[in-house]
Amino acid sequence: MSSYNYERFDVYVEEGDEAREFAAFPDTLHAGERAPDGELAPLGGQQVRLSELWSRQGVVLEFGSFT
Amino acid sequence: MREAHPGENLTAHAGLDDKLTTARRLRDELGIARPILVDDLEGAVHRAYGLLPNMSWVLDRGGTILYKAMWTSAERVGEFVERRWGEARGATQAPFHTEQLELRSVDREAFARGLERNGPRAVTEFARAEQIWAERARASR
Repeated sequence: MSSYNYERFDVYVEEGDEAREFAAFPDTLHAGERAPDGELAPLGGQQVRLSELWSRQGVVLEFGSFT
Repeated sequence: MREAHPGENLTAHAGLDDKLTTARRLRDELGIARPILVDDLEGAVHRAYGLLPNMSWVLDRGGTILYKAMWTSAERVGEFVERRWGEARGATQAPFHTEQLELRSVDREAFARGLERNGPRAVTEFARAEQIWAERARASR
C-alpha cells in the first residue's frame, strides 16, 4: 500500500490503491447519514471544525489538490 | 488533500508548510475564489470522506449528507443546491437515491499543461498509469 502522500502516481495506481478507493466509494457514507466531522485550516484563518460550519448553514465541500 | 500528480517541481507534501504553500498556489495561480480549507498532513478529513481526488459533497445545516459525487461537476452541484435550498413550497424530504454513469468532460489540454508544470515525471507517470488502466480493461473483458 502506498503512503498517503505518495510520491509516484503510477505506483499508487499499480499497487491498486486507486482502484480500491474508487470501488469502495459507492458503498460508504450515504445521503441521509451524518457527515464525518473533522478539523481543517482555512488559508489565513484559525482552525475550524466542519461541524462549526454546518451548525451555521449548509456546506458544499469539494476535495482537490493543486496537481 | 495530498497532491494527486506530484513531479519534480511540485513534490508530495513533506510537511504542513509544503501543504499550505501549495494550497496558496492553488488559490493564487488558478484563481480559486471560494474558501480553501487545508486538511492535516495525513489527510484525516480526506480519509473520512473516502480519499478520492475530486469528490463533491453537500451537507445540510446540522451535518446530514444530502449529495455525494465521485467527481465534481460544478453544473450538477449548482443545480442540486439551487433546487434543494431554493424555494420548495410543500416539499418534504424523502430518501431519493440515484446512481448514474455520468459523462465527464475533461479539458485534456489544460490537464496536460498541469502535468508539465508539475514536472516531467508527472507526465511519464500518468502515461504509465494510463497503460495500466488499459491493460486492466483488456484483462477484464
